[in-house]
Amino acid sequence: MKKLILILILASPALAQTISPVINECGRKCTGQFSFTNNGMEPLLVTVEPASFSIDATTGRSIYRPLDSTAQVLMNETSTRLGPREEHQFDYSVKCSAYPCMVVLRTSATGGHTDNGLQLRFQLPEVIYQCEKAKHCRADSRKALGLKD
Amino acid sequence: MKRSLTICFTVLAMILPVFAQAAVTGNTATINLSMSVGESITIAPSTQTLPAFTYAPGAATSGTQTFSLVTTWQLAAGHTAMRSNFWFASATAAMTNGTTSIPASEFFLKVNAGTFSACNFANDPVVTQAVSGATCNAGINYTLAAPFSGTQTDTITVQLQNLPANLSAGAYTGVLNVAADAN
Repeated sequence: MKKLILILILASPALAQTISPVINECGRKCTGQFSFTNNGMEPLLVTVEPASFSIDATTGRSIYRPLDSTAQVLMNETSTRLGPREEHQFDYSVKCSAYPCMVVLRTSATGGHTDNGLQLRFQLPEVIYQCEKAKHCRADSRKALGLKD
Repeated sequence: MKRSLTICFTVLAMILPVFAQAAVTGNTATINLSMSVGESITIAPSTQTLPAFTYAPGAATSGTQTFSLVTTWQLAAGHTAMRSNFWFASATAAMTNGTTSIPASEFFLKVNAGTFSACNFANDPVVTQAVSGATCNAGINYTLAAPFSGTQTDTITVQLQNLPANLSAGAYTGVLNVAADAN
């Protein structure tokens, strides 16, 4: 039994973070939530920053930019501290006056501190597509940018 | 006669329920099963901090530091791209000891067996508001194909190069940003 516990501890990642879901499609009323999980054994400081984005039709890569004046993001909180193995849920609502509206909530995590060396800061995206209607919003938004879906 | 009738009724009483059961036509029970697998991205670095570079006084190049990055994704069909990249918040101060700064142009990074390149490129599209001239030119592209889930391990090596001989003494610190993107 002791060996099993030891194996489980060793098998679990010492450092890891997960965001889920990655995509949310909304209609006019856009509220949602996403979870950020600290899979590791060290505490993490997590911050969330909203941004607008478009997509490069050739490469499919996101092109981020500061949040458009036509978009408003409200969050229940924009930062938190996550203990080992802790999962946290962020609630948000998005209001856009122009559609399609593409917003990303860039969620960054830092852990540890160094007085001599480099600190690593990891960022994962929560992507929100808002249209008149939620159905096919992502596909429609991408088509409008010249992408296949 | 009375005894025979009693036996007959007893036997009938025992058999009738069997016939009655046989006459029942049972519906085939179905249980609907469902499972929702949400999209997720996980990044598991080998460390959250890198120790100080080894450095010989007057040298133009430091020792290297390495960390691994395990990226796991579980996405829905339709995604066309997913990638990661690295950047600093300042082009002029990738690392600083409080008085002297090492610019991003002297910070070099490579992924796996790639070649070192400086982190002084213009804004990467993935990185919002990153300062121009502070983005590493060595991103990671992930192969997205059905079933749109997978895992990839990459080794990132960093080094300071082209350092001035008169670099002031002190403990240098900095923050290297690592961003994953999928849309």
